[in-house]
Amino acid sequence: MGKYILKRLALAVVTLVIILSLTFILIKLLPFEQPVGMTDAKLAYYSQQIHLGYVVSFDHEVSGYGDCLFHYVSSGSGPKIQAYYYQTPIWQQYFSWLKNIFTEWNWGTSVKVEMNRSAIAIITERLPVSMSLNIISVIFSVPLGIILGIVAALNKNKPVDHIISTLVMVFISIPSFVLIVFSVWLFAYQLNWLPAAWAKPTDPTSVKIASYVIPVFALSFGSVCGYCRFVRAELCEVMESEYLLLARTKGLTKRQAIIRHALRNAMVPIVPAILAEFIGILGGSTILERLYGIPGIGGLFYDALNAKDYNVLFVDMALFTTISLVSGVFLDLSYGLIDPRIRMGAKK
Amino acid sequence: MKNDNKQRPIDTIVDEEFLDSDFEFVHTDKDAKIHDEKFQSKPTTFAKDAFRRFVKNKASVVGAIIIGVLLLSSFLSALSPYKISEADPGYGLMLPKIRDGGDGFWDGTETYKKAYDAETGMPIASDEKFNQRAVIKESLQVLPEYEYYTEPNANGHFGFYHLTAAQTKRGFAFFQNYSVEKGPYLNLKDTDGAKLKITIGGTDGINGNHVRPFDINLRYRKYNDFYDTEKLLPLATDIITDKEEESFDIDIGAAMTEASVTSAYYAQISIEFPIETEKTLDENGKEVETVIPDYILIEKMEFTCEETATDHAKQRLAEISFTDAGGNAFEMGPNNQHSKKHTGYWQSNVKSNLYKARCQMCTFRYDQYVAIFGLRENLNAYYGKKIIMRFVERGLATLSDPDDLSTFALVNPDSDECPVRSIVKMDFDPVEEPDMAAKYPDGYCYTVLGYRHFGFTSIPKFVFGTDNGGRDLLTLALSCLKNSLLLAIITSAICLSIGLVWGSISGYFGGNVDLIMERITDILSGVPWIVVMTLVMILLGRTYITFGIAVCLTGWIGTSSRTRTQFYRFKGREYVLASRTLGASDARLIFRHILPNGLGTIVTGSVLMIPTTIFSEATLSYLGLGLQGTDSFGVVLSENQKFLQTRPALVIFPAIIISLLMISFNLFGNGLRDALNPTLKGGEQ
Repeated sequence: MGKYILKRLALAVVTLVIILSLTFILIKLLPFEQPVGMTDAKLAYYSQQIHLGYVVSFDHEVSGYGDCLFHYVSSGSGPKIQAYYYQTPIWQQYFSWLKNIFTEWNWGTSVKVEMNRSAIAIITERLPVSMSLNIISVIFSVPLGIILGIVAALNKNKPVDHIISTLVMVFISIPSFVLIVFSVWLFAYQLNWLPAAWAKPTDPTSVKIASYVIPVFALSFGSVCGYCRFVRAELCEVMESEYLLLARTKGLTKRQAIIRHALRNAMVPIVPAILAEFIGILGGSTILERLYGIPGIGGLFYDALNAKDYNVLFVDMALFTTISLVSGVFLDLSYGLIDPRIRMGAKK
Repeated sequence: MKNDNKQRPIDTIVDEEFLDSDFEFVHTDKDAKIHDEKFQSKPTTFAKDAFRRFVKNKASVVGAIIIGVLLLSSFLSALSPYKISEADPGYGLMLPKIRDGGDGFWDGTETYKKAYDAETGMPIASDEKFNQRAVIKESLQVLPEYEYYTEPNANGHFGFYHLTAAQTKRGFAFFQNYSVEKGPYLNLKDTDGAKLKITIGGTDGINGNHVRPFDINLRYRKYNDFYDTEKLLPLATDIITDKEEESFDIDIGAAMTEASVTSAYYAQISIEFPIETEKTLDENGKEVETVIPDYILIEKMEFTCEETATDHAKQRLAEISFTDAGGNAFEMGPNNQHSKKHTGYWQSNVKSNLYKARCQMCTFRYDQYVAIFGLRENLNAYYGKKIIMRFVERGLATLSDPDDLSTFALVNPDSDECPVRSIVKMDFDPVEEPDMAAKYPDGYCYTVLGYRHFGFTSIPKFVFGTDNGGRDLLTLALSCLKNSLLLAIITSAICLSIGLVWGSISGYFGGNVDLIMERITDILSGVPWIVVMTLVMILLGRTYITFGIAVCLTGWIGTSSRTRTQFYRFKGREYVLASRTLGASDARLIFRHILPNGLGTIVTGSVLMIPTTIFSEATLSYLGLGLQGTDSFGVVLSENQKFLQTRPALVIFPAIIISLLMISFNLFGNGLRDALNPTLKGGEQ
């Protein structure tokens, strides 16, 4: 088991490094985004870039480095100071990037979103907002989804099952932005029960709590439906199995048979999914955060992309990629923990 | 005799007599040739069997029918009488109309509640902004009491306004800013000697006094700690308690010297006051707490600096801007270069920044179709002597005096062919009544038939309404549907073929080939889809084809892994081994023996990919990261979202269509899966 876990983790790390390297190179191939703002803020940005090894500066024009990024001439009465800034070749930038991450944990600074601030700091500032939303949504949606799934499976092909299954089908098909827009329209604009956007830091606590309702609702909908469908399918399969028939024939009541045999076995694929969901807490929904004005990392992705702030965008992408890879590995490993017969991805 | 064995005592069985012939074998089908006979049951093919199972699933059949209807109707967009390219913003944002009625249900009328005219303080139904013919007379009701309206407005009684932050970092900007928490940022480098003077003016017109006491704080942050709110240090502060006080100064230079601030700092001005609430009883007698809004009446923000200050410093000060509640920037005052002292100031234009005022209001229902397509007078800018002469030349109208357009008369008043119905002379003195004179620049008022003006032969009916640019939403939605379906079907087909080839090779050959190919798909599928999409869109541009490429880049992985699993499942079977022993080639084994067995699962996966693609496209476009210049649900929805409050139909109808499309594809896909793969019936996905 230990060897298997190590192997899976090592593979995930290799995959992550390859994905991040590819993304880094692709992003660096894009046209260089000039920082905006005052001259001294620009200078601060470029000096940081030089420190990171992405940009070089000369006191005269040189060829072989592509177009000049920025030409600085000092104002003031003293002797004129000139500086020409150029981008270093991409392969050099790539090695500088690796060096910066491993030696300083430096992922670059923001160009536009919050100028000259470290991208990691921006992300860590916004992470708690997304996390708090996701935690509440998971706490709410997992039990609800499982209960609905159990109810549907135990009443298979009865009206209760049909109602639950139809609703699940409908809500899983409706795009999330449609759901969000309509809940804002209905509960915020028409009925005026809830705020139409995320609470500002100055708002009273009641508004802050109320502003959690729509995002949690929107985030939970998908996973409630997903769990419900998953649990129903698994439980239905188990209910028709021979060992459950044996359990009933040896004298267990239906309730005993379901709780002791059916549910436990049906939970084998479901528990890992729940565990993986907890890793997903770190991620943020881009659409929800943009529509509801939530200052989380999903909204940051949108902001950074629109502002062409590639450093912030890259760190955000890296976070999303890491989350999806880690939860994938976790999912596979937890299968083995729950049911030792299963070794996902192992040789036959 | 057999059934009652148990009941009979044993001795009665012993007593029974049997003949010898009872124990002899008899030939029943002697010499019968049953292999020549036809099967009693009808033979069936795999497709027929699948179809039979599919038809049994009613929900899937409904899904398939809806898909069929949507597919067919998507091609009808070309036949629509309201061409998208010929739309005129003149009839933008029309309400949906399916019937004549005037009762408010899907008939193109809307109710104006608490309408007012800010200019005259009168109920707005009497205003000429509204076409009187379109106001439904029975519904007009003037409200007896005066009420407040709360939005920035140029004209109103007892108005006042407040200042808000210049930049909003995110989301929606609201007028209910109870305090001005985040002030404009200033760059204080090289501004030694700069002084800030804030002038407070006006009175709260309703209560006749100033607002409550408030603090004005000037704080600063070190350059590196700019965004760290913890490290905000006070620089200067002034508490305004005296209600009569009208202006105060902050000497930035002195404050900086006092605080030993020497270089490169940013500062923030904030105007802060505590939020006060009051408790009132609402209609139901319940106690509600409301925040008393606060308004700071700032007339002028003025910076001055010493004569010796550098041009650079002055330029810095000049770069600052302020915005008021209405989003209007403060007016920049004259920049007095000659005295070398003033750097300019920012003055609020009081008229345009009124925030709250009161007036009389009324409620009425308004028929938008009559207002836009009926007789109307407000299209004067489109008509003139030249155009009228054209009508005369075409024989539609007569003009007895060519120099006086008011002699205009229709040849046949019963025919609606001529858009202009009558012309009245409007002579206003530009000095005495400049507003009216500007309204009728050529001195005539034209009464125009709206639908003829826009080139229709009768009053149109937009079943879903029109968007901001006057495009018929139904036609637009059908066009989006066509694009979405086309894109999704083509990309699914491409992904199916790539995934099939990749998965077959990987699954059939196994070993090291499989290992390497699996790692590649691992890497590709490890990147979240939104990352792949945005990267491709950034690198190659936001076109229809690029989006297809972006989808295909990772979309085939699902098909490939499904195909691979199927190959692993079937390649070890005895019939494959038998065929291999007989000398079948790899191609024959793949295409004749293994692939047909797994095809059901693979095809179903590809069908379910269609709604996923539509969904991703709509989501991306909705976020503004997707397609540009193509009709797409995402683009339409995000463009119309700003009208959600006033014209919800513009969002509701496209949302319903896309949801319907997704639901029916999912139903259809599930049914197809159950039909093609009976062992999976009732299973997941």
